[in-house]
Amino acid sequence: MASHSGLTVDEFRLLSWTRPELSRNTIQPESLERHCPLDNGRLEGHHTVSPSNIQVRLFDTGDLRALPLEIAYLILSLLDLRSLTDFRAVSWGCRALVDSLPQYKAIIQHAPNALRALLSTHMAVHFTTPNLFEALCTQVCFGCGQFGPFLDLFTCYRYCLACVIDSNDLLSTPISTAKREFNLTSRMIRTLPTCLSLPGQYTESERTYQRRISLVRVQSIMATRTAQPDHHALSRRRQGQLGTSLLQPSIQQAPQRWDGHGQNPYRFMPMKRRVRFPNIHISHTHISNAPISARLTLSYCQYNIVMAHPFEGLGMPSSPPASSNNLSQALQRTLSKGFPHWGSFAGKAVRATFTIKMDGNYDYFYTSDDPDELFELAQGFFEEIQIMAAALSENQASAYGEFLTTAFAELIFGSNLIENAGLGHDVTIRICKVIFEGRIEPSTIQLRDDEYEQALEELKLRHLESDHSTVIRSRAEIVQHALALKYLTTHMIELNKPLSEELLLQTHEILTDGIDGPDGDQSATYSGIYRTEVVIAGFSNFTHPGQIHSAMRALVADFNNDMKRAEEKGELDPYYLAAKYCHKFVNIHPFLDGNGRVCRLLLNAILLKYAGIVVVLGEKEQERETYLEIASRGSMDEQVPEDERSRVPWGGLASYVIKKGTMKMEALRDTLKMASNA
Amino acid sequence: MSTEKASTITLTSNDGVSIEVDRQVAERSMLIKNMMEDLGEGATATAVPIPNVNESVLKKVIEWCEHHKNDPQPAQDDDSDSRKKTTDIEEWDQKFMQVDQEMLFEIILASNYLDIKPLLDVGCKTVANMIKGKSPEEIRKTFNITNDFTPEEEEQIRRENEWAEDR
Repeated sequence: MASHSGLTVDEFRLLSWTRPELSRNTIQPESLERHCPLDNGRLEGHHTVSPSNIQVRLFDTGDLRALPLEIAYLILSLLDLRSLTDFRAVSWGCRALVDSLPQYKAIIQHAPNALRALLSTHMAVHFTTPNLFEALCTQVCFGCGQFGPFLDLFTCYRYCLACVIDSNDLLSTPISTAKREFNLTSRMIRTLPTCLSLPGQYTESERTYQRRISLVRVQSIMATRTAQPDHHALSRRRQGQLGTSLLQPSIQQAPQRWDGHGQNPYRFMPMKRRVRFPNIHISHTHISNAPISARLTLSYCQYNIVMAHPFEGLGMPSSPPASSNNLSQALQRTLSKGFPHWGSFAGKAVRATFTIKMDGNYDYFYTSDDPDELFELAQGFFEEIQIMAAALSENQASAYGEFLTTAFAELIFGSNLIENAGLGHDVTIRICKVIFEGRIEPSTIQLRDDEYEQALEELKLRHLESDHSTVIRSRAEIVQHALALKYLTTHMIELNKPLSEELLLQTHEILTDGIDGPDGDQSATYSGIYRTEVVIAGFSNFTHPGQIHSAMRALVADFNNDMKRAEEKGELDPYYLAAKYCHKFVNIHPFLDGNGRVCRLLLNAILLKYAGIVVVLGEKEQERETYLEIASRGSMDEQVPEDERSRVPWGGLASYVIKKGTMKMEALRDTLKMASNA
Repeated sequence: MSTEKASTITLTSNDGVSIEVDRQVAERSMLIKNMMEDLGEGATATAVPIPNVNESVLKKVIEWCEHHKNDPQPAQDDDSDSRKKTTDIEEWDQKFMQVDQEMLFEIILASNYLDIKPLLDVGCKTVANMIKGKSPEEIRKTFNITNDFTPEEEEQIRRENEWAEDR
């Protein structure tokens, strides 16, 4: 895939030195595909036989023929993936039988690398086809409930980057270290699940770990120590049976001093990243005769079946211990630490204080309102809110949570509308709120019959394809957008993480997960990845692909420097800052698609963090036009060399943001006042 | 309740042998249980034909139901989580399943027909354990399967489904 600039991919990589894409640090798909190709679907080609012969072959499963297909499937579902793979090598009949198993078929079709990784690391003996299928069908991290793009090969659960780096449950270590640190005998080691690492790079440094290393989980060492002596464990393991207790994250343990977290390669060796699994649709032709409600139920029924009670009976909480699954509650919690929740940059736990002070670079020519006056007005409301926030009633706290979640849902609707994505207002608000509440797995959210009909109508009005798959896609555009917003705000505000490239990449990955690009690019090829193609829109010449890495690095560094400086001075202008970085981001245009939505998410995350509110852009046709006009003027200004500029390119956007922000501030003040009277 | 459960019913196998069993034991079979509920009390008087199952298999199935008559009924949505499913089998059931392969398959088919889910599960687990951790050749011997792969195909399947070191 040569880029338009004539560079090869390797040259491009070399020129764009630092790669924050952590996929480099986990098991690499190319080497999996090379070393463990899987024969599936390739052997038939050069084995040409007459059709009658195939018939005979397909049914040649010996005595197993006596069992009807559904019972054969029951048995195959009980087999671990290693045994299942070996069973495929018994005869053509057995092979066909395994290949027709629906869940196995879905795995081979959509996520063969997950299977390759399990087989290659020798972890396949611990998991069955349904285990893997279920892990692939969820999106959430098993540890914290956030978006979980990693598949942990030790547990066959999904995890997020934060858990992979920091969770004690996920600390792995070479057997030699384990023996030394925990005084284990070889005999004890043999009872532990062992993951054989694959050659690759697992740290930021360029070092390649060529030798394959046997890893064990520190957590499972702890489990064997505290567990009653289990005489059967060894023999069970020899039979390749799952010693469930040894693999479950449950024991608390102290951090290990030799654990390098993000720099610890052993944390990344058992991780397969970017495991994707699309919403599984039943092919339209099969179900087009069914009533609409049945059609939609069919599309999601697989999730409902597998997701019903995922952890029941394991002595585990019935849902992952989510720190902040309910966005509204999480924001209420941050409010109790002061409005807005200003975490200090230097010391994470320390609260910074700022005076909101207007920056001098607003564009006065754009709006009819005077930014100075607006700013003063906003400042007045802001101070009133701060006084109320100092002694907040429970009623007011929940009103604030409700106020923000509604504003979030509205801003997602507007942001989608700007891009001609998503669906109508009401259905967008409903879906977003369900997701912010965090009680249900997002993939199970369904459209109601009336919403489905409306969606078809609306797509027609917008001159888009008005069919089942477009409705499904538009629904996904809402769901992923809401998840991306939840991810970014949780990390920037609740967890007080500094802005980073990884945060933006991850946000983009969530936003576009499972949604193909405008020219039919599969989401896996662009989601969470900087573009390698030149993009031109109107007058704007967006950043050349070769410079995106450095431009993004500079953007993040600039922002963090601005914040550091603001903290030292004790002054900042949140509206101006939000507009500035929104503008800078969208003019780098780092992704193939979804830049506009990410830039507005960034704008609102900054506003929320430093002003305690968010603004809704583009929610009406007129607002949409105004916004787009401001944005394109900003992009034109951006083309002017820096020393020749008469105004800052984001001045117009800043004025627009302060206007919108003032209105939101006032609305928030009124909401809190009402809640205090109620 | 207890008097009702103490009653017996007669089952007739497909080779014409009638076997009298406690109703509680027979009702481990959801097929029979639902049928008795539908037909009401009068039905206990007539023999129930079990057309798909012969005497020896029926006796074996009844033996299992007898031993497990006091087990709680499995919940309807028992399949929801694959993590609960291991192929561990309790000791009594393991001994019970030490039969020749034909009988094993017959028990599976009978439990499927009579809708006795826990017995079906035990049967499937037993077969799964006959496959687990075995080489393809051992599996062929166990189930009388002819190897219709050419040696080259066999080698290719083996090679492509595991990690091949750089050469």
